[in-house]
Amino acid sequence: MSGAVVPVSDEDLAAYADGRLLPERAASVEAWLASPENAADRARLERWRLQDASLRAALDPVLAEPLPAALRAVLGEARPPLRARRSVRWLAPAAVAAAIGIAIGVGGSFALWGAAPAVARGLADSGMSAHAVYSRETRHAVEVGADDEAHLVSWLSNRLDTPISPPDLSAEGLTFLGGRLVPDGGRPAAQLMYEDGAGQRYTLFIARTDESGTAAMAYAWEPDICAFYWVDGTVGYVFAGPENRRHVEQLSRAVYDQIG
Amino acid sequence: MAIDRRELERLIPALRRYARGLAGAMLADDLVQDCLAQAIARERQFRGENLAGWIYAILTNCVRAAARSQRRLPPIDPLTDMADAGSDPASRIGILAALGALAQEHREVLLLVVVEGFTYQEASGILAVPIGTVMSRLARARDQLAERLDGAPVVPFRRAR
Repeated sequence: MSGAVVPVSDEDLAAYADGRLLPERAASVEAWLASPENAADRARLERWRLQDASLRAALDPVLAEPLPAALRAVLGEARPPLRARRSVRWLAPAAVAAAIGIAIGVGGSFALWGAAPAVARGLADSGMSAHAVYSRETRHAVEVGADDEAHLVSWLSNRLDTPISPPDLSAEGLTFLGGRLVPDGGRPAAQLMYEDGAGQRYTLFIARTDESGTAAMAYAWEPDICAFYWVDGTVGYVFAGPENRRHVEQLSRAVYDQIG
Repeated sequence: MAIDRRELERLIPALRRYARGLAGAMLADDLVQDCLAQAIARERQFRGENLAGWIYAILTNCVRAAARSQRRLPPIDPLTDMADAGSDPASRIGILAALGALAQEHREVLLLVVVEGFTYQEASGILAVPIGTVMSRLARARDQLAERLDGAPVVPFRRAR
């Protein structure tokens, strides 16, 4: 090994160990290492290579582990497309109701109106009472603010064991404020809160239902609050806002389009 | 731009490996979950160049934030952090114990380059430090790892929780 012996830095040695030097530079590192007075660095390099290999051997088996369901759930896309999902048990009554929608007084612009099963009606009540309680809070409207959305999303998704992702209603003039965990008959439910330019509050309540089914959108009203609610699989939604049915309906549709 | 969910899903096993090396088995999956949620929430900020680099940067920041908020991460426990398959458990326990004793910045660079296989250039992008810093940190990280391995018993005592 003759030739010019160029000083070799730690950086060169690291790059050499990683096979990331240009060939001519690698050759001069090799020449340098071959010289007897650099035996210590040769040992050092050998050491690095061994420990690199053991590091990989210790961690690579993680790759073969089955993925935790929660991680896939965050992606929220393992679900089949909306159309395919919306045909479980309650569809038949819903379709019938749609046909006679005007007769039962819920005629409107949604394609499919449902006669609400009792479970969905209970859902609407929970969502509206949560709305009544928290939408009046000025300073403590939410538990986790929109600035910490990632935490909010993973927290609520975990507690409800279903992916929760706040719909973006900025195109409708609503700002996302954040959300909180709320009790729903002893079980965890989620409330996401929005505010319009006039400071009016809107909430999306999300709860798990006992059995799987589909309930098309329905309208619910109580003094000062109106809401639209629907069930998709084992997840029920209630979008509530101030008494302005047309506007709340339009917003509910935007929510529905985004989350199904 | 929107992130291709399948591409993201394909990265999850490697993200879990990186998080396991950085933060240990107790926190790793929570951190990966935070990272994926953030990536999705901020997908409009993604410029479409290098998804892996972008996601690893988010995960690195999630780990740093967790380390800050808890003052420090729980110690890596080699006996529980060791993935199940494979041979020679003694040397694997030793290397994970030594890794766990390194400074956060040394763990990051070592794992990104040696285990995750990023180039120095990519690692410099992920860690937001100059490439020279990546290389010098890497050399220091390797030396410290060697030091710890020399001094460490082959099978360390299990740490109390």
